[in-house]
Amino acid sequence: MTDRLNLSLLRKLVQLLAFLFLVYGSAIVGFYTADKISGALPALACAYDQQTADYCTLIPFQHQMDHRVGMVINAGGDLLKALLPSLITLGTFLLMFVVLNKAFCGWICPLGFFQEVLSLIGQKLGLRRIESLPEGLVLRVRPFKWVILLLLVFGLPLLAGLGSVGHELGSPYCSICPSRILTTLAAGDTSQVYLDTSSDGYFVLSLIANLLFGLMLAWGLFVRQPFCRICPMLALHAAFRSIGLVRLVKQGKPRCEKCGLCAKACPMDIREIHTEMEQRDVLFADCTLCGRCVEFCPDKEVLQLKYVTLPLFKADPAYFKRRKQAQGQWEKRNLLAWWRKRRGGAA
Amino acid sequence: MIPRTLILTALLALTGTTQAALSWSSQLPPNPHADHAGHGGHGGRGAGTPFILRDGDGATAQLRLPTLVRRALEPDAQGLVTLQPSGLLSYHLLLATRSSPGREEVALRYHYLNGKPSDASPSLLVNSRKATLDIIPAPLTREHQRYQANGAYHYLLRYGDLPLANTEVRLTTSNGSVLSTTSDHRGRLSFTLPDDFPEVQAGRGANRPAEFLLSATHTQAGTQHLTTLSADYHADPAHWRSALGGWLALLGGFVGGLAVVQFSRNSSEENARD
Ligand code: SF4
Ligand code: SF4
Ligand code: SF4
Repeated sequence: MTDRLNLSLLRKLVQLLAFLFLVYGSAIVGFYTADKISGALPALACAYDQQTADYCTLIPFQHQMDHRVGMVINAGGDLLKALLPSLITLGTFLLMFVVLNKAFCGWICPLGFFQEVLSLIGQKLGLRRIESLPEGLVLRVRPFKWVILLLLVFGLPLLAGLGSVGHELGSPYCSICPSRILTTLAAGDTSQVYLDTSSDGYFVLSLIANLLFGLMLAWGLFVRQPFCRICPMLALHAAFRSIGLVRLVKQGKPRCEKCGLCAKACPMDIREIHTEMEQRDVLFADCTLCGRCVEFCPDKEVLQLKYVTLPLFKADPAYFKRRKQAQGQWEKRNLLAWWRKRRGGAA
Repeated sequence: MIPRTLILTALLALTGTTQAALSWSSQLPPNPHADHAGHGGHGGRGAGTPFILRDGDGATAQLRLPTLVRRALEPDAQGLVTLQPSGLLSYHLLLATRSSPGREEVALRYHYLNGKPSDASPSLLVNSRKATLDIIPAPLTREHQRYQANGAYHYLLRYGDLPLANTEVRLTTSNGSVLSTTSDHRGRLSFTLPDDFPEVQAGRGANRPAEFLLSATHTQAGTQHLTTLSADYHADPAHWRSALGGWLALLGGFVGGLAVVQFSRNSSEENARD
């Protein structure tokens, strides 16, 4: 890496290109669904965005649970045949997931990128940010992503297919997903911001969707990656992370105990990246493979991003020094500081 | 329950807006909620999807798969065909043709069927040669989107391999609306589907879809070409969705989020002082 180009900057460029491609990319890959790359992307690119180049895997799962599996169990058909589309979706998801592992979050996801942009706006406005959430809160929030995955992506759609709950719950995660609102708005379509008055169920879901999006906008200015922490895609990734080829490895040294810079740098507040001293594999369930912990590790090769066994990026004292300096300068420049300086100058 | 084809025919006869023309029409199941099981243009599960070939005496009918493979269709005496899944997931084309000296008639209808994912893009099907005078959706509605009232949709009129300019195309709906437009110099035309559902109920599944029919006529070299393209369309969800309510809820979430940040900051500062 040169003095100017660092891993975070490179990642932002990749995220920007991925955002443009996934939100507007039908112009490149063709308009129709069949022109899309997979229809089972391991990141929240949205099927409701009519210009998207590919869409996330959570929507086919919900529809298959509702329209296929649930209905077939109800009507007494061939269950294996009904499960086949879900298995194809899972297979397609895994084929892509194995290549980048959880880096789909840190490098590709439009909603992940948007939350980083919010964070950047908050920082540039000079807002007093909460750099790390309290440990207790982080631990309490972690199970939610699993609950959302199991309940909203699989459980309720299945029950809707079985007829046990209303059809409103046929795709409940999509009904509240912030990426649906973000990507459609980004494509110039405001039709996804609505309150649905057709039934109590739809009303509650549409209300939650808008409140959640508003909350994400507000919290994103102060806290890093607020939605990611409860995202069902993060849970789906976590379930399969051991098969992914990109790895995060650690070779702990005694100095680690007094340091902890990696955990401070982590946008997901994974403190275990600091405290784990035995295990070599430190790709934890909440990791998005953003690589910040590696960038901000001051000790040689303690943390590494690897592609199977091939090192992609290693902690390095010289890089750390440059990176820390650049970060300090970057954080100093914000609107509030500029305004104070201007007023100070005028006085 | 009166078949919708009859309603369409009766309405068109009543309004006297169009001559009978070779065209496809969907025949919906009597349960209005049955449509709810599908989404975004998906269909073709279970017992098959029925279609009626209207004014189809002497016409031949076929189904074109996304891969352009053709399968003959045999409408019964009432023009009814029941479309079975082809095994491929994507748009399929119902095509009916009838030729007589000096006249060539074509009826088109695209329909999404479930099955295994197909490599073939729908653009292969829509752009393939199927009629001398063709009305090409530009584009077809994509998954999770469907034709709905107040939506603007675009088409391309093609004669042979070339765009057909300055030609009138008419849109008639089973709700009784009639519109017409003219193709531009590149053969392009657009329609905003009329918001003409007589009694809109709240909810997507509570309203049976209606049907629209585009028809174009062009005479060249002594032959009159008449082509129709039909599709279902749905009531505009804006009838039961409030955009203002949505924006207000979003704003409420934003303000509430700011308040939570402020509150938690205050309480952690108080804790620190204690
Ligand atoms: S709404 Fe969310 S979960 Fe559903 S398709 Fe869009 S991004 Fe995926
Ligand atoms: S965890 Fe964040 S980055 Fe990953 S898919 Fe969810 S929103 Fe996107
Ligand atoms: S552990 Fe490291 S790579 Fe994973 S999210 Fe935290 S900083 Fe990023």
